[in-house]
Formats: sequence, C-alpha cells, structure tokens
Amino acid sequence: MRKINIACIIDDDPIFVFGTKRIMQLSDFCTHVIVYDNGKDAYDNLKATILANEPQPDIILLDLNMPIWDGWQFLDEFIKIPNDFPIIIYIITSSVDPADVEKAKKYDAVSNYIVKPITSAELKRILEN
Amino acid sequence: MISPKQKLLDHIKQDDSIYDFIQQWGIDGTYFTDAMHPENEWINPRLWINLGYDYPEIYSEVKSKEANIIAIGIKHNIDKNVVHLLHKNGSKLSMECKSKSIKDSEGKTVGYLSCYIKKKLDITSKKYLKKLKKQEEFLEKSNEAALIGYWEVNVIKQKILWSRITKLIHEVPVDFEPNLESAINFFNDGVHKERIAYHFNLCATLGTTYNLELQITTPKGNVKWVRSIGQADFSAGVCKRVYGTFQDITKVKEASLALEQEKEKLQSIIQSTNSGTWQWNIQTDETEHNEIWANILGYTLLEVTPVTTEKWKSLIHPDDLHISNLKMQDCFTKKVAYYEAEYRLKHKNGHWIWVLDKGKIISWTPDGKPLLMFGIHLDITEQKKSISRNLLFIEHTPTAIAMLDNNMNYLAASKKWQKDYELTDKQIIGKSHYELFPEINENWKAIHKLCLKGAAKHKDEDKIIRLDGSVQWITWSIKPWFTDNGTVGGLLMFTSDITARKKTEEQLKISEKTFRENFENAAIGMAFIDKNGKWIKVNARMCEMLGYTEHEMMQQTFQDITHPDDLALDLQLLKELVQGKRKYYHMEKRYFSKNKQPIYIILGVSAARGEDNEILYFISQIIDITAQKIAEEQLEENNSKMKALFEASTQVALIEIDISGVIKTFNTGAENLLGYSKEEMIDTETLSIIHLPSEIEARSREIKEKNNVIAKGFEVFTFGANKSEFDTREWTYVKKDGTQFPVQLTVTSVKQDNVVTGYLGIATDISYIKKTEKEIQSLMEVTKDQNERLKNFAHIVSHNLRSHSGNIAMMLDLFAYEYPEIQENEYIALLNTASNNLKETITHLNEVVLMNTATTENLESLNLYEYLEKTINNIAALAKSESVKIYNDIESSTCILAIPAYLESILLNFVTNGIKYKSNHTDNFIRIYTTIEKDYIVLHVEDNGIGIDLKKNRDKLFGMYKTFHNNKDARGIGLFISKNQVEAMNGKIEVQSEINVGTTFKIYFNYAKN
Repeated sequence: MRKINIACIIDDDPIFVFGTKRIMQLSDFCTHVIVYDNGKDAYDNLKATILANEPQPDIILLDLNMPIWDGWQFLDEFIKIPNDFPIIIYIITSSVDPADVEKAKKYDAVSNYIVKPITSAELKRILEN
Repeated sequence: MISPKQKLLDHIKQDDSIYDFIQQWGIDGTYFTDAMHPENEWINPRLWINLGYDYPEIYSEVKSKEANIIAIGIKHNIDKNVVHLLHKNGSKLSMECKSKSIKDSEGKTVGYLSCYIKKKLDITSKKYLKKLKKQEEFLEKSNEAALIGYWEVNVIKQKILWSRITKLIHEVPVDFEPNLESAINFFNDGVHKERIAYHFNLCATLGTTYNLELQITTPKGNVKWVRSIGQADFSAGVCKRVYGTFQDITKVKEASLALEQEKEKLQSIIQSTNSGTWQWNIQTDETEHNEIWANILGYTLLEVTPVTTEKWKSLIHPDDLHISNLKMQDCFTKKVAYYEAEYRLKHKNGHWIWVLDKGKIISWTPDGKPLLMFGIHLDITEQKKSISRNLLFIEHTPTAIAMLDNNMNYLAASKKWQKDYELTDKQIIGKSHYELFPEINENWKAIHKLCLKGAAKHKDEDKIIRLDGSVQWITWSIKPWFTDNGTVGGLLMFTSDITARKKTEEQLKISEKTFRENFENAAIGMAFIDKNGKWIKVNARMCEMLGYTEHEMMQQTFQDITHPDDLALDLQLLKELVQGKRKYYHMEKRYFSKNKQPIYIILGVSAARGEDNEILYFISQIIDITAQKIAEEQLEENNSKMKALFEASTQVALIEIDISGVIKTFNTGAENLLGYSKEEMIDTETLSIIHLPSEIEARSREIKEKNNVIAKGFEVFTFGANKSEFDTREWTYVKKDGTQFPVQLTVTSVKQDNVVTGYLGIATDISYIKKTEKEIQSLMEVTKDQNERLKNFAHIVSHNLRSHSGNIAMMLDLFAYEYPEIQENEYIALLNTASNNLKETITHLNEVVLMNTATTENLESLNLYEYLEKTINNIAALAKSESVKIYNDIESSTCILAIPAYLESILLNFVTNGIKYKSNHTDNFIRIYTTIEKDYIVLHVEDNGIGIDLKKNRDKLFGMYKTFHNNKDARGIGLFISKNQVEAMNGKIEVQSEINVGTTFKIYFNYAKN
C-alpha cells in the first residue's frame, strides 16, 4: 500500500469528516489531512497552494452538497487551475441521484463516485487502486 | 237372273233333242251360251276337268282370268269340227266338236250349244308304238336331267311303279316299293294330302288329268315342293292305269314365294307412304287400284271398283282434265319417261282433293302401243293449300314480287310487279319469264340458273340503262323456294325501284359532306339523337365535355346522363317538339360526366323531319357552362353564408371598413358587444373609436421593427391581411361605456375583381377564454410548486436522511473498530441492526422516488428472452441448491419496451420469489413464457409453489412492507418495487394463485413493434 502524503477532505458534515479522518488515521492512510467545509474555501486555499508551488494533496474526497460552493462548482473552477501534479478526486456523497452519477462521469479528473457512508474497508480499496 | 245352266235345262225341257245331242256328243264336255246375252255362258264340269281345272275350284272363281280366257277360246271355236283347247298345263287338247243352235218355238235362235269328244289316238300302229317308245326313252332321259321322275299306278293290279328319279325325289332307297296309301302319305297333311287324293281319285274315275304343286315331306324330314302331273288310261270305260310325272320344284317354288313376299313387302311400303296405287291396261281399259287410292277420295275400294276411264273422268276436275290428258299423251308418245300430273279429284263428300299422280308405262304392245301402266297417287291438298295461300299473299304484296316455277313460268306475281314491268293487261300466270321478256340478257339467265340450284342472289343497288337511255336504279333479290320435300320448287324474284332515293342520296351526299365537317369541328357539343333518345352521332367536343370516348358515349341515352331533376322538363319540351307545338327548344340543364360530376349546359334541340313530316332524329347543340355555373353557385353560396353569418352572429362582431378606414358594416354582434348602434357607426366612425390608442401604437412599432414598414392608424389592422389571406391577433375593444374587454380579431381583405375594396374584421369576445386561461395558468403554477416541493422532499429523503444514516453507520463502524470489546454489548448490536434497517429503508424509499420521476422516454427495446437468460444464469446456483427447474419458454425474438435496470430487477424479483416460495414436493419448477394481449406483451411467470391466498391478501400483495408468509427472507418490498417499476414503464401486473397449487404472475409490457 502506497502511503499518501496529503489527503484533502472537502465536506461540510463534521461527523463525516471526523469519521473519515479517524479511519485514515487508524488505517495509516496518509501523513496529513486537510479539511475544508465548503467548495469555495477549498478552492481558494488549494489554488493558493498550487500557485505557491507548495505541497499539494494526493487525493481529494469531495462532497457534493455544500454551502457557498457545492462540489460541482468547486470541480468546475478547480480543473481550470493549471497544474501538473496529478490529484485523484473521489466524489463521496450521499446522493444516489442517477443524474449526479452521470454528471460525475463527465469530469476526467474524477476517479470514482462513492456513496456514503464510507467504511475503512472501502477507503483501503480506494488506495489500492 | 236365271243362271245359264238353268236356261239350258229349261231349253232341254222344251226340246229333248238337245238332251240326245248332249248324250251323243258331249261325252267330254258341253258348252252353252245365251244368244241374247253372250256373256251368260256355262261350261260343264266335265269340260273343265278335261282342261285340267279343278271343278269346284273353277266354280268358286268363275270370274278368274283363266276361266275367261278358256271361255273366250271356246266361244271363238264353236263353229269348228275339231278344236284345240288350251289345257291348264299349257298343252293343247284336241277335241271333236259338234255345235247346235237352240231355237225357240218361233224358230228364233236363243242359244248355242257345243259338245266335245276327245280325239282318240290310234294306238294300234306298231310303228307308232315304236316311235312312242323312243319318245318315251328320250323323255325319260330329259326328265332325268330336269329331275322329273315318272310314276305309274296299275289300277287293276294295285301296283305302283316309281322311276329312279321319283324315288330320288322322295329320298327313298331304290328298292323302295310304294303302295297307294304310302305314296299319298308322303304329301303333307292338310290341303296337300287332300288335293292329291281328290285329284288322283278324279283322274282314276273320270279320266281327268291333274297338274298340282304340292308339298311333301321325305323320310329324312326334308320338305319339298313338287309338281305332280297325272292322267289316266281307260279301256272300255274302266281305268286301267294312272301315270304321270313327279318333279322337284322346291327351288322354283321358293323363288316364286320369295318374289311374292317381296311384292307384298313393296306393297306394304307403298301402303305405309299412304300412296294410292293403280295399274291400267291401256288396251283393255282394265284397271286395278289399291285401298288407299280409294281412301284418298273417301271411298272404299269396293265402292269404286271397277275404275274405268269413264269413271275417272267423272271424278277429275273439268279444268284439270285437259292438262292431265296432254301429259299422258306425252308419255304415250314417249316424249317423257314418266307421267306426272297434279290435278283435283272429287271427294266422296263433294270437295276437291289435289293429287299428285305419277306413273310409268311398264309394257308395250309389239306394235309400240302402251299396254300396261303402273302409278301412284299422293294427296297433296295441304301442300296445294299452302302454295295457294302463298300465291294469294304474293299477289297482294305491295312490293314487286313474283313467284316462278322450275321452268321460269309464272306462278304468281304481285300487282306492283305487274305494274312495274307493264304486264298489267297480260295473262302471265303459266307463262315463261323469258317469253314475256325476250330481251333479257344472259347474265340474268345465269343468275336464274344458279338460284334454281339453291343459291340466293341479292343486290342493293343495280343500275339499269333503259332502251331510251334513262337510268333506273333497282334493288333486287332472287332466291329459290322449296317444296315440302325440300327440293327447289322455283324462284321468288323481288325488285324495288330506288331511282328516286338514289337521286336524293346523291344530293344529300354533297350537303352532308359540308355539314359533317362543321359537325366534327364545332366548338360546341353537337349530337344527333334518335326517337328513343339514343345517340346516332356525337361530335368530339361533346365527348370531351362529358369525359367519355365516342364509343362509350354511344352506349348511353340522353336520359342516362341527364340529371334526374332536369329530365322532366327536358322530356316535356321534347314532347312539345315532337307534337309540333314548337320548332326547337332551349334550356339550361345538367348532365353527369363520366366521373359523376355535374356538367351545366345550355341545350338547344331541334327536330329533323322526313317527307311525311315524321321525326327522323333530333339535333342537339350543347354549350358547357359548368365553369360559370360553379362560380355562380359558389358566389351564391358564399353570399348566403355571409348573410347568415352576419345575421346570426349576435356574439361575434363583424365590422367592415373601406379602404379609407370608414366603417361600412357593423353587425348585430358588434352592436351587442360594443354598445354602439349601426346608425352611429356606419359611414361615420373609424376603428379608432373602439380600440386602445396604446395598442395601435404598440402594433405600429412592432410592424416597423419586424418589417420596416410604417403603418399608421387603421393600417395596423390591415397590414397582416394585405400580406397574407388573413391576420389574427388579440386586441382590446373599448365599449361605448368605456369598459374594455379582450377580443380575438381576424382581418381579411375584401376584393372585387382582384382589387382590394375594403377589409372585414371578425372579432370574438375572449374575456371568458382569457379568464379561464389565467385560472389554468395559476393552477399549473400551484401544481408545479407542489411537484417541486415533493421533489425536494424526495431529495431530502434521499440525500439528507442518507447522510445521517451514513454517519450513524460510520460512527458505529469506527466505534466497533476502536473498541472491539464493545461488540459483545447487546445495545451496540441492536444499534447496528437499527442502523442497517434505516439504511435499507432509505435505499427503498429512494428507489421509489426515482421510479416516479422516471419517464417513458427512457424506454428501450429489449430482448426479453436474453434478459431472462441472464437472470437465470445469475441465480443458477440458488435454483440448483433449492432444486427448482426454470424454463425459459419465451420466443427468442420477443422484444419489449423497458428500462434495462428495471427489467433486470423485475425478472430477478419474480424468479427469486418463485424459488423462495417453492412447495415441499420435489418437482418444483418456474415456467416463463409470453402471450400477446392487444398492445401488450404479457410475461407469465408460473410456478407450482405454495401459492397465495388471494381472498385475504390481494390488497396487500403489492403494498410496501407487506408480507404474508413466514419466510425468513420476506421483507415485503420486492413486489412493491416491481409493481412500481412496471407501472413506471406503462405496464401492469396481475396475479392468479391457488394455495398449494401455484402462482402465475402476468406482467404487462409495452410491445416493441419492430
């Protein structure tokens, strides 16, 4: 199992964030975890990081339903940022709306669509891929 | 009348010297004849017998020919001393004859008596005997050759001698010795035996000879005809010997009998043709007729016999005697081979019978005179009657007709014929045509000849140039007429002078040519019609007008193609034309064209009349006015429609303006809607009074923007109408009282001769529609809002609930991970269960929500068979472990309209159910097949499982979270979801079930028609 340096969670649900962080910790998923509770905040900070050429997250777990900017808005803007570093983006959502699933497929940057709740087993499977 | 014999006896009584005379000289015969009546004569039996005749036979046949001849022979020889009388066998019997006149008391001769004695042969001469012997031997030899045998009976010794031939004829052996009895017994019983016995007896007692043709039967059983001739030798009045010949004449006899039969046959044939026959000895005037001959005239033969020439002359019609005699003379002088004449004979009842008499002279006297003639009579009265009827008919026929016989002789000619050929004053009947017209040429004679052989000749027009050079045209016809037996009886000639007609025709031809060209090329329809309404001729324009070909046109009558409503008037006018009340008529009427369209025409009809003023045909001239008529009718229709519209529209405003915008029409509807009266508006106001200036300006701007055209004032209304046929838009009308209401206004231009003369506006109050529209709009909005809210709710359910439930699950998961010991805790276990249940419920709810938003657009054509196969594969392991056999009986090409995921889910659900609710027995199965019901393909899923009590459970069956089995897996969601999925795809589900028998689910899918 490859050890990830930085994982980024963009989700406004503190319970989910808490849970996920804990799973990551327990499974020794990564070294650092960055958390943003909305798309806009995530975008602004990540953009600054990328532009400043600071270390970037290897993986982003993105929720769709969020205040200010939702997941889609984040995606739309984020992919516009010129960046050579490969970031794996997973959409982790409780939406099972087929429209959302279809929409997610249209983004090349999106690696997979995972329906909540996420379990440690699932998290491991993600990293194996 | 006293018989001659009695007369002689009377004479003997008065004069006994007569008796002595007879005694002395009449040993072999006596003859007596009355002086006053020479035909009263008497020959005594002895003389008959000596001449070879059977005495009783001759007596019964006193009148026979033979007897007459004998009597004549005797009569002519009574003055001679030796007479040679003819014996029956043909020989001459020489007799001494002594004759005596018998005188009465006054010395007047009253009769003649002749007595006969046979001349005795001098048999004492030896020389004579020798000669005789020789002759006998010769005779014997010749007799042998002719199969004539000799026999002799020695009366004294009672001994019979038969010669070899005689025995041969009798077919007895040479040593046969006959006696008198056995000899006679050879003769056949009856007449043969009786006659031979009688004549032999006479011969032996009286010395008569006999010559008989009789039948014998030989011991071998052969029947033969024989001629037996016998005579006797007497010595001193005692018969010593009887001898004679015996000849086999079977062949001759049979031939003559056959001849006799043949004759009888012929006779019967003649009899059957109902012909009378006659035979006439022209020299003796003796005749013989048959019964039919007499019957034709109503007599029996006995009544008319004898038919002498005198008698025949008394029967024949006096007018016919001459011609019959002429013809008979031709026959006698051998001019013709046969005698043939038709003449009338008087019937017993007094009327005349026509007979056809045909005869032939069959023998002639040596000096060339006709001797015997044979002929037949045929009754041809009926035939004659029919001919005479024909003759009468011909005579009175108004045309020129003549009937001639085979020799071109006139039998009859009509009066017209006699007049035409200037024969009126001449006697022509019976005269030859060629005799009457000696100038007739060979051509005609050849034609006559042909026709007499059975041909019929005819010529419609034949030109004859008369002697004076004038031309005569005739029609002629010559044909044979036939007699009843089918032979040509002569000619019928018919001629008709058509000179006048020919002249007219020629004149006509010229004018006809001119006319025909006119007719054919006329710009209007023209036709000739006969008295029955049938076309005689129609021109091209006429056909074109009605769409028929000329041929089709000719099959119709004008009644056929005339509109039934117009026929009566046409016929009435035609009737008046026929009656002469008018010379022509004109009318407007309708025809029907071939494709049943009415054709409006102006018809002009006049009549063409013949010389006798009788109508020959009608001339019709037809002008097609359909186009005008249709236009007229349409105009009429439009007018009346318009009028009706104007009048009837009390809620529709019709307002017409002229090109300057002034109101010209303002209907009741407009009055009602706008509150203005007609008087206030028409010719006074413009449209601006009822419109909002703001709307007019807005429209003006719109036109300018869109079309870059400046429209001022009322032009904003007419702009659209000028561009296309009509222009419809919504406006607001302002009533007289100032209130406003919405209208839908349609404006069209009014044109006359393609020039716009004004505009018509039709306005309907759409306040109500507007109001309703608004209501619908707000209702729609409410619905939409509610739908939206429902969607949001579904969204909350699907997303937010899921988030919380996901978090609970995650927390529990982590909690258990970090504190593994608490997994033993019962509360935690229960919490886990609750969390899982919550998650599942949310999943189900979500599915339902999604299904309800699914649309039919997502339906695809799916192969049902393949989907089922896939499902069966997926659960093969389960089916195997549960020992349930699954049969896919779906036709492999069956396609349905469905959403793939749903179809998979449905199939899986029902097949799994079938396995889940299997029976306890061993042969569990699920059979899946389809049927077609109307627009659906029905999927049947049939099992033989435990079944469902539908009475109790039908309502619950498809409900959410309804279970009615104690199955541990039953969650009561499968059927609920399947039902919703099926319904989302416009289908339905039905169920049939019986407990412990099985269940069949019928799932209705839309039929993919490809």
